[in-house]
Amino acid sequence: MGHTTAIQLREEKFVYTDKAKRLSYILMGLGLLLALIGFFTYHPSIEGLSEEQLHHLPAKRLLGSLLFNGYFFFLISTLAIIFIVISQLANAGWYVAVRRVFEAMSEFMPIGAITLFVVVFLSLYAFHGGIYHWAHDGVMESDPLLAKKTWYLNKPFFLIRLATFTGFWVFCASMIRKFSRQEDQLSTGLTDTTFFDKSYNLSALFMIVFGFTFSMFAWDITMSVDAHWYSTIFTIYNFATGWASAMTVAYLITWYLRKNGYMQGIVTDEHMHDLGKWVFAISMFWTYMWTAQFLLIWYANIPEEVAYYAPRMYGSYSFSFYFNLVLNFVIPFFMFMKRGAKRNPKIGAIVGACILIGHWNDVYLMVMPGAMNLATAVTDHNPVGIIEVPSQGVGLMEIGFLSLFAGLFLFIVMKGLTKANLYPTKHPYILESVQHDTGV
Amino acid sequence: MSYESPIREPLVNGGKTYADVTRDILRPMENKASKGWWIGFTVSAIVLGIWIAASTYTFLTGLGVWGLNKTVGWAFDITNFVFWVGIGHAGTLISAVLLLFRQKWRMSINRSAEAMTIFAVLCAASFILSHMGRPWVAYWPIPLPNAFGTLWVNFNSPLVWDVFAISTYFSVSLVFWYIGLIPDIATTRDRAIGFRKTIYNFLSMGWNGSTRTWHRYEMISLILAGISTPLVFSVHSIVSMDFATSLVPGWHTTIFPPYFVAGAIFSGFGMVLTLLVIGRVVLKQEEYITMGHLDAMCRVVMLTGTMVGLAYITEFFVAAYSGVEYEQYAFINRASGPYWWSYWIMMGCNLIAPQVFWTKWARSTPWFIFVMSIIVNIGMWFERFVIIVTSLHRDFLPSSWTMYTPTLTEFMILFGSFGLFFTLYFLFIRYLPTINMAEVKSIIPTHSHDDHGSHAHAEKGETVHG
Repeated sequence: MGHTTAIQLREEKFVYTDKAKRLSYILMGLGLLLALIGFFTYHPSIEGLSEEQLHHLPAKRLLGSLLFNGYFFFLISTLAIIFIVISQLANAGWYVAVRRVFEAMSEFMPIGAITLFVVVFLSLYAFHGGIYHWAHDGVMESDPLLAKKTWYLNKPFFLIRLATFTGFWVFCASMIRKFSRQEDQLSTGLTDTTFFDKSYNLSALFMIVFGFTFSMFAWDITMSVDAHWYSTIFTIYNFATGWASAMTVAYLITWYLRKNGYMQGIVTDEHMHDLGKWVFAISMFWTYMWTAQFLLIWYANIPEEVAYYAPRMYGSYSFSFYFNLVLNFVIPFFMFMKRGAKRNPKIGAIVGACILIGHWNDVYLMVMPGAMNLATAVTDHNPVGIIEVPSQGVGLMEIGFLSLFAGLFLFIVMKGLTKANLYPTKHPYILESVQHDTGV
Repeated sequence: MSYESPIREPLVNGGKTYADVTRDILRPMENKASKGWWIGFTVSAIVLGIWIAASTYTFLTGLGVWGLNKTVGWAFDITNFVFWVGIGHAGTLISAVLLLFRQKWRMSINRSAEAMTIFAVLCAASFILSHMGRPWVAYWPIPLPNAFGTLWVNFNSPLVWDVFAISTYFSVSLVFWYIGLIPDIATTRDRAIGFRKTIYNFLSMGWNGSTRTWHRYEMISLILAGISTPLVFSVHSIVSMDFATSLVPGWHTTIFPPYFVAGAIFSGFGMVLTLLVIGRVVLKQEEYITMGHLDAMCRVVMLTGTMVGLAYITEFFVAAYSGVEYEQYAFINRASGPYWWSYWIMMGCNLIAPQVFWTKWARSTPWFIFVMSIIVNIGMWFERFVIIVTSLHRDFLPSSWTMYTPTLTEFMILFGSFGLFFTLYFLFIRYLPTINMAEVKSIIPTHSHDDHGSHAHAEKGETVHG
């Protein structure tokens, strides 16, 4: 057996220092400032577009940047709780020591959900559709294809779905966290499964509901930005993007905690190795989903479908398109396959940063091309009623909101870590996890 | 051995010692074949005879003896092929993916599941051969330098990718299975005498149980698990691309690769349950393949059944959402056209029926699990039938719309392929150990040897000595 000395499960609280808080404040303040500068200095001039048309672009870019950044961090926090749910349902033992990191990440869910709701609401009602082409006045009536979608794509139904789905997930996540924290108060020893069972049952329900509702959620938030286009795998692709990012964030936060002297003797290199394997595995899963979607559409070459990839692959977004594959597949594949890499905080930080930038770029690529396009009358020459706006690049607005949300996310997660012991002390599998040995 | 929480159920019951494991698992091989085995084997061999007869008849006469027509060019043949390839997924999933996930309950079932994988892939390959109509030119999909000038296979075709995917999968699965068998074959050898000993001695490849051999065994197992894992996903993904790269509504959809993989795992576990629910009783292995094992497999069936169900609903929804009338018609035709019954058999067996496994009773009642496993097999066969036949029979040109009716020969080949499968399976349980003894020995509780071990301390709750 792995250890020769006695293992002490002790009370261990995370202290959120002022210095660490300052980093969050700086990220948030700087982000907001950059975004505002970006917004007020954005005066696009694009050949072929009238003054009136150009006038719409700043608001579109603002809403688009807010949406994809909010979506990115909402996915990370949601997939963190989903990882706990899956581990719970699979009866996994090894992850228990790092469980609180995932719980803290899920604390961001309410803010992410509110951000999405506000941006969507503003888009639909205050900005004449904003980033959602289908929500522009008159589009659904004049576009024969979109006219067939009104039963699903309409403003009230969209908002009701968004509110009920995210509301239910936020509720489940908070209950799972609550059970976990109540478990710490048990005095009956490690064979008491009261809260373990409660959490298990809720996880089963949550997982089923999540499977079905997340599908619609992803179609709504990102697929309907390109309202003419559809892809059956899109949901799972979004799921993979969020999951890969969530595992990476958890991996990096755990390194941060260990580097600062927390969880000594509880979370070991063995756990880092396994978290690293998850980062690697889900990155490959993402690649699999990416390939399934891209290869099948590229191969069949049906105009309705390739219309989605044409501007991304051959148009002004082509850098982001290839950058996506390099960061999300090539780098983790070659740099993170080896055992030593996953156990090395320096390599882990480099690969982790690449993956996070990569998936941020991935959501950027899902939202922005469609969001920036302008609506126009449907004619024989332009049967989809869209004027394509070339890529406006990644500028102060995109970076600013990234910084703002990153600061906010860090702040919430660090606060979340202080709310309970850094690892569950009464979880039935905690001793399994503490003595975890990957075996290689 | 690593520490285990006291709340986990033991994986092997009955307080077995190492000697018990060897004796229990080798019993069916070392005793004379029972009457039951002879009956099962004979029946399977007769069914195999039907397969040989029907296939021979097809080869001698031509594919005209099947019910195919100009519109429906693929039907029973490819349905059966995908059905068997799907079944051939559980074995490698259990031995590779569950190995990487450290799911120790896999150890009692991986051997027979892997054997099943290999036999199922053989059945699948037989349909590839027979659907070509001219099996004597079956080497044509292989890119060989040839006597016809610079004539190469079409590398752009997913059918060619399939040849590579399946042959790779088959060879890696076979090697993985055989490597895992070596220590157990050596155990068999050590207990055998006479000619039997010679044979098992040859098959054991000089295994002597030294630390060095074990070390290499562990390494190669891990490497093969790493190689097999992407293969589990790639094989059925590429099978799905046989359909999804086309322009046919109902086939061309991006969810196909993961949806086929989920379906394959579902059907593979269905077949594992069919075999093991019976096998554990007949071979007296209830203490190794426990109710806990059946419970875990039922959960996997429920999970993957719900996943394919979600995929069916996604396809249906997205067709409606797409606004493309051809897509929409393909799905309405599936659910309410002339083959509506096959669609609802698929839905009923794959999405709705497995939901009974939410109840503890369903997961702990062997006869019911057996019935469910048959339902799963039927449902997954119909899934492929629905995908293939209902998408084809009403194509782009309404004047060529038609129906497909299978002929007796096709039914005989389908039925007969089970004969091929079960004949091989009966030979397997007679001549090879059906449970991985070496691995099971590593997970039986060791209290009797190690009284100061972790369990005693764990009950105190706070402190543990490793």
